[in-house]
Amino acid sequence: MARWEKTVGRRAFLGGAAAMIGLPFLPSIASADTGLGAPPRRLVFWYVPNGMRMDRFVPTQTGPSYVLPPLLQPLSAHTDQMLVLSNIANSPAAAAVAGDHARGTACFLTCTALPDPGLPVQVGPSADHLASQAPTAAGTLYPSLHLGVQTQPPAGTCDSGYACAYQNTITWADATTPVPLRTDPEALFQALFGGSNPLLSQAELQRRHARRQSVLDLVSAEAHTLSGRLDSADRAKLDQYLTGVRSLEVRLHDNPPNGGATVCDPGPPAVTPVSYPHHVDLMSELMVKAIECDATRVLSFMADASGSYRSFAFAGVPSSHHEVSHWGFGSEAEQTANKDAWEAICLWHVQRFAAFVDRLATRLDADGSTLLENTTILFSSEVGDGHSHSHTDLPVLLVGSGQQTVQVGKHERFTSPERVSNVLLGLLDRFGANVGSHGDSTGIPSSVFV
Amino acid sequence: MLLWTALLGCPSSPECPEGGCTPVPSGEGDLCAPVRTTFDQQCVLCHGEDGAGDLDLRDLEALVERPAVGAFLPLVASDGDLDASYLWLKLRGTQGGVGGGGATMPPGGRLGDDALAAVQAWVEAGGQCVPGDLPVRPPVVGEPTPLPIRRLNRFELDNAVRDLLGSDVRPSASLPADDTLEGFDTLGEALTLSDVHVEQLELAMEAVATGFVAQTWSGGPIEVALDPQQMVPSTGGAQGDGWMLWANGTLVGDFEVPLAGDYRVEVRAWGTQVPPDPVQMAVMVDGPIVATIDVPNGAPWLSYIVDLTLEPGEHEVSVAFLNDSNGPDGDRNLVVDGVRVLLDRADSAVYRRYEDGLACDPAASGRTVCLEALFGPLMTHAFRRPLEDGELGRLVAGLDTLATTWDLPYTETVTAGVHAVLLSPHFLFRPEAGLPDGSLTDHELATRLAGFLWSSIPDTELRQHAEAGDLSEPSVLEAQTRRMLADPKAAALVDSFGGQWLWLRRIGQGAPDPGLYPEVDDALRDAFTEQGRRLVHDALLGDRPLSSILTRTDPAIDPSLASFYGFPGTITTWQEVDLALEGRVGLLSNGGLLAALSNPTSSNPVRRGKWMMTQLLCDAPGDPAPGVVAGFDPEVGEGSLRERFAVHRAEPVCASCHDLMDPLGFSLEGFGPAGEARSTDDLGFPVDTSGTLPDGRSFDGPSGLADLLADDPLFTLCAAEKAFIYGLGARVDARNHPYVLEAHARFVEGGVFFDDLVVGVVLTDAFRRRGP
Repeated sequence: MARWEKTVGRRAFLGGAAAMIGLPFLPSIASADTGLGAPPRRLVFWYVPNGMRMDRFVPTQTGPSYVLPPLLQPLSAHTDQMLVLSNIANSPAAAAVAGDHARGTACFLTCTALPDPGLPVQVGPSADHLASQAPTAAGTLYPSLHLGVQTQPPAGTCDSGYACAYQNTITWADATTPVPLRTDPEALFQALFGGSNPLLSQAELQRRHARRQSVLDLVSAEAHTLSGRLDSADRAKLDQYLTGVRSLEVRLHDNPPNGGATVCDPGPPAVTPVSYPHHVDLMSELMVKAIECDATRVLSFMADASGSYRSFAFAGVPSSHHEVSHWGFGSEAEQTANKDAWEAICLWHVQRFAAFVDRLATRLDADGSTLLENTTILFSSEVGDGHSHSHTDLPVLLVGSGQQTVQVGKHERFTSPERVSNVLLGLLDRFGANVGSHGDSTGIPSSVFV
Repeated sequence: MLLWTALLGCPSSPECPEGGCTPVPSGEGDLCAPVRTTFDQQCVLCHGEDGAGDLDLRDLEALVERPAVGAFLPLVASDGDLDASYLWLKLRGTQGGVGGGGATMPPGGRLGDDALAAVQAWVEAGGQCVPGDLPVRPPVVGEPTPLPIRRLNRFELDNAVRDLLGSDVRPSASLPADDTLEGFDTLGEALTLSDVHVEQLELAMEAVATGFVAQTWSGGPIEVALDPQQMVPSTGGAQGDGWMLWANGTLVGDFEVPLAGDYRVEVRAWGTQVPPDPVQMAVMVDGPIVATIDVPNGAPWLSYIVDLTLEPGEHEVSVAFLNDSNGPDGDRNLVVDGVRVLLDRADSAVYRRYEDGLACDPAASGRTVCLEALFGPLMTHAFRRPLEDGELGRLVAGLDTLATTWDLPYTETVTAGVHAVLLSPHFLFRPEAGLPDGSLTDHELATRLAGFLWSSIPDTELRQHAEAGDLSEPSVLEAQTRRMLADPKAAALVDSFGGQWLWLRRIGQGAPDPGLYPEVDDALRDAFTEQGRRLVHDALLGDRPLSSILTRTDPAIDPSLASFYGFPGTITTWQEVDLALEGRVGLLSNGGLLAALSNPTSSNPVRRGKWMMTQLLCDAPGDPAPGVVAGFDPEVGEGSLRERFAVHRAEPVCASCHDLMDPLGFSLEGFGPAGEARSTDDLGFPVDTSGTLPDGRSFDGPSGLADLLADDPLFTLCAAEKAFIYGLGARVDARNHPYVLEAHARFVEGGVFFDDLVVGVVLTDAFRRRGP
């Protein structure tokens, strides 16, 4: 605790006048209530669509010394903080009918089989949401944040008759409540760091705060009254609303406008994205800021839409991502050309991910450790091979040792397919969420976690 | 007797006592034998024990009155009604209209004529092997079911805020996208809420409330001035501070107003005259002429005032010179010196609606009195029903406490109140309790109606009918429906229903490779969308039949579309032109839609054909068979695109769907990945737009395709199904499918005009009742 307080000055904190420009109060930093003497652990889930070209992604050798394959080259500076896992499967996503992108996305962090298309939506909860419920996630501005870049539904119907909710998010609060992604960098910056309005005086800020609290009081009272009159199915819908109101009430209560003199420097406000690559970069930087400022400890990010048809002309591949990921048509030469185009897109995605890791590795926590050392990031995709839509042989990286809870620095190949759910179970456990089991999990793999 | 018939008809039945019955020779009176032979040979490989689709075709008797999986009909109707027997429809490829889908059976080709005739005879005998008396089946009637409570979607929230407060602040801007189901965002089942929603709603509604107070309490009039020299002229030149139109033409400018209300548009103008006529000036707002004015000779200018009602948001004003004359008698010109749009706040819609509250002076009348005067009407309007006992009192008491504790200024107290109303579950959700007899209350019915037609909340007239209790009378309900369809707010049907059914919301999302198609920019994308919007608008709300969406050849286009489509005439603004020569027919020739159904560098006939089957015929092709990978790459391979796609139809299991999808898509091959006209495909082979469907119908090109689809009975059935799903906010199932047919019957009787379909949906019990 003492160490935390002493070293707090190492961070780029602002005080006094700086608070006037509207920054959040972060109790965990200001009051040092972690009491651990160590920075908090963080957990991040990074999703890319359409699989990975596995013959260029998985090292040939296993163990601590392996030759970095082309698609892992962007991460070459972080091999000591990286665990490559191979022979990983998410079998609840598999089925004998089409719709692998929908199932792979919905199962990504839930590891739960979906009902058939046309039946009421049912999956979840997801690992990121479960992590947000852990005591170790509490005390921050947001128990978790879920980011994406898809601002409107893609031009195309949702996969094979499955409800679009299965593809629009990877986060599920419970079996029937998808959590939408935050896609607007400016709104996210505002939510994280814009707790007050620079045009208002302190007295006005306090009045506004009181006004909003009163409004929420009034609203939740009305909602409770209404809820009492509804049948149980409708009540469940209204409960989603009441839950939201309650967490907002808590956030307002914990963050009064005159809360603190010392706050974290958020840097310049986010801007409107001008392109998809720019959008990914902005969201990546905001995630780093959120971690750095301890505004949240659990993050998930969909780096593109499930089964994305995006053209990667900016990366030299004018065809759509989904089309080239189905590399296996035509002659051998044509298949090779397709694979190369797909690999270029895969490489672009790994590079974006590596840029995020770079940022975490260069910024310091209060005790002088890097953010990366206190974080674990799961990097994966909704399918393994893009052509066959496999849910076996998934690309899985764990980056960041999470304060020595993950056996980083090697390539671990399982002899029989290991379940994604077991990896997620371990991540949850080491983060501090004691969930017992998750999806189809059978137990925490000992070769992955410390 | 029935038993005897069954025994007679089933000569191989084990129940047949040895020597006790006379086997009927095959083919003579035994309707089952040839059917069984056909099924055994062509069907039971898949539909045998544990058969696909939970269907076992080995036991013919068991098929009678057995519900088909995923559809709303028995496999074989016991009364011999072919149209009510799903098995028959599935063999004929007409399963789409009854909730079915997937491939026509059997895969890889229809049954031969003899086999089909045998099946027909058997089905017409009600599934009996020997024709006998047919039972009378009770008519299938619908059953209204309660809908889950649902929140307003983003589009509805924006419209409701606009209609409640006369404001154009859009709370949806920061809200997450709504999930859709069955292609629409109006199904309560899919409209979930999360912490992120609530967080963003709270901020957005605070901004709306703050804006409302600022707009209604800040006093002065609203004034928007346009500089004539900054407006867009079709002719003329600067003249002093103004603009001279020296030939017949227009001066066009955009402006935005924050509040709904009765505005004054003021045009300052003068003219140079040629006797005997004065200068004729017309003023248009958002299209139509709102005033034609004689402008007398000489400077300085005079002010001409036009009164009109405007909704908040963007508008377009246009000043036109109508009677140019230039000759020996002189030169007649019109000079526009200035344009202003003005609103006295007391003339705003919101001020009039809440006048008692807004005019109330808390210093004189007391805070509580003024808050009650404002929030009584405001909450009634927002909650779409009379207030319950104590409801108003609770809000006012809460506001009173807040104001006293924090010494809040009155305006901030009002802000808090509006904020609370907008966040109330009674505003954000549509709770329905219904009446003991299973019908909706008139207020609930009004809310459903306003949601369907306006994507908003009821207006005063609708609410008055609900209060009078006569809205549920069919004649009143129909009259109100038609009144609302004629209201400009019905444009919501175009943007939301058309936006989702016909993809108007996605037309702009086509992403042709910018390297190949640099001419496709945001402006052109917007023009594609606007072209589609106008086409759909005229079909849904104009006087054209719904099928004009597919068949119309005289759409409105603008200069950018004229250039992209290669239209030879000169046009300066949106204008209806004949595009038949350019081969552009209906929505399916819209460049944006074609691009959205393409790959970046190649057209995708399968995607286009699948879209037509799914969206226009409600006959979604089934998923590719297990083991077949979707996402076939047409850019790979040799020969013409058509030849490269032939692989789809080589396998019988693929052909069952692709024989239908592919020809539909090929007819649009004259349009490339950006929707551009072309005569050769991506490898330089000449395009061939002719096609033949498995049932023998032949057609060629966009116009043949349009006629084919418009004439297909599945098209009107599909439109009825889509309107029902959208309007009711529920999936179609066996219980409510009869209502779709009921609405469809009215639609077709009236000559396939959309307003009849809407009335048809509204008058069904599914829409008017909640069920027990």
